[in-house]
Amino acid sequence: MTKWYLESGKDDDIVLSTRIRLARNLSSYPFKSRISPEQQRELCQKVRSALEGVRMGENKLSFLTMENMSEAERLSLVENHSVSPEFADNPKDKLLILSQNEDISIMVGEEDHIRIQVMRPGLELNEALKTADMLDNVLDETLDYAFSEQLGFLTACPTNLGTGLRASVMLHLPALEQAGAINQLANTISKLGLTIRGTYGEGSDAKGAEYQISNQITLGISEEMAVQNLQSVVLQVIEQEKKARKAVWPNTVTLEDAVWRSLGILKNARIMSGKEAVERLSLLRLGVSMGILKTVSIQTLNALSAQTGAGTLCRDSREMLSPEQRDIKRAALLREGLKDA
Amino acid sequence: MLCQKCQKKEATTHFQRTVNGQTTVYHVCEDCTKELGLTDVFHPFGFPMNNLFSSLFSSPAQTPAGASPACPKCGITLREIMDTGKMGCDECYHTFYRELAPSIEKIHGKAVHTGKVPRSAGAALQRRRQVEQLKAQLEEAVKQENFEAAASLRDQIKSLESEAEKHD
Ligand SMILES: [Zn+2]
Ligand SMILES: [Zn+2]
Repeated sequence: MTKWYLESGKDDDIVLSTRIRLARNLSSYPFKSRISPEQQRELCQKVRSALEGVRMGENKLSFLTMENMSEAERLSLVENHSVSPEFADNPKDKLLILSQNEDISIMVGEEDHIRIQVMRPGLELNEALKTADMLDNVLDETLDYAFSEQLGFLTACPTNLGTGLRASVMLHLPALEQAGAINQLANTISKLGLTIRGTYGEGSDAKGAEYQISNQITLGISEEMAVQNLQSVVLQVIEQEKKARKAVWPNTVTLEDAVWRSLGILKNARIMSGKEAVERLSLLRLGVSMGILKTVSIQTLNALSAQTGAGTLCRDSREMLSPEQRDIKRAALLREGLKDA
Repeated sequence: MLCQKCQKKEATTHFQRTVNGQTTVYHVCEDCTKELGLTDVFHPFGFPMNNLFSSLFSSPAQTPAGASPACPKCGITLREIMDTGKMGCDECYHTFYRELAPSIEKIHGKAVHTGKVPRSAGAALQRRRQVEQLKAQLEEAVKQENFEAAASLRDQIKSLESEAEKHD
């Protein structure tokens, strides 16, 4: 079954992915900081039985014990956004429920008892919310959620009170970044109850020009409204990025040069660091989006990004590779993947 | 001791902050504590509030060990919550509501939950919330002159309301 990130989605030349996350806790157990290992195991069992009967068609759910996974497998799950780094680093008594195409991941024992997460390619907030909502309903049938009429779903951290919903859209914004417009954008966006951040850590210099916009407020706003707000802001940002591309590269030959050079390097390099790969693939993505590169698809680029992360490289070669070995392997994968480009 | 900020009221909060390796102890009154945002335990994003609060509460003059109130359900103390920014259980929100309310308000504004309602909260509340949401959507549909959607929303609201009458 095709992984979700290899499917095509709406506006997927600029929108890398959509993510919906619901935070839920059971009223019968203390939260993470006070839960005993025995209670934690009970919790995993309860969530497991609640979901075992759910019909997902082709996209079956697997129940994975985090402790039984290798370090590389766990790292690979982090790279593909299925689990948080925190969850992967502390696998003891943690349960992961993952769908066949990896678009659904349910973490049991993260900061909250249950974190339902749905990922989609491109801009598909409503579809992702629908799936998350359905899974939430299934869990709600047999489990007693911690809830208050006034504060909504009660979460370990008050930043998630209310709906417990975090909706995020990952965007590729090379022109806005190049134009130095990200700070301005962040100011505007924060006034709308949303937040923007670079993929890796804080600050404006995101690797590969990837930025995530999400809702910040979860109390006093319904799930539908939160998603609608985010959607309309994201659509505006996409328009701005498109305008900025024309303004930043009025003379297309400079951009064409950068794109073709990147392709040349990716098709020929024998050693490729993770950082360089991300930056070069970002340029190819821009090239595809701008109609410069016609022999590469967005899906190919998504596949290559997913396969060339450090953890995934180790997982797929079934050994812990040294950084040097990884760089060689990564270069080989990229050459192979782009040989027809 | 007088508040170092306003020089008017008695200082009740004493905390230390380390900036560039230099540790300074501050003494401020209750009003200034609020004004400085020091009652905000959970800054939503980015700021290392936990550091600030652990230094605030580690001052022994401020809170003698064991004096912090505890949650009857999970046993966590208010002090631990302040240190970590995380609750110990659902009951903590009830136990420490007064202390937490300013932080919650700072994150979300003065707000009451308007989203989804789980089964455990009861069918009546579930229906009431659903009607509220549909009414908001209806208003939006009318504003956008989407009359087809408005008509269907009206039907949904009517059927939910008649269902509610049957049960009440
Ligand atoms: Zn004062
Ligand atoms: Zn508690």
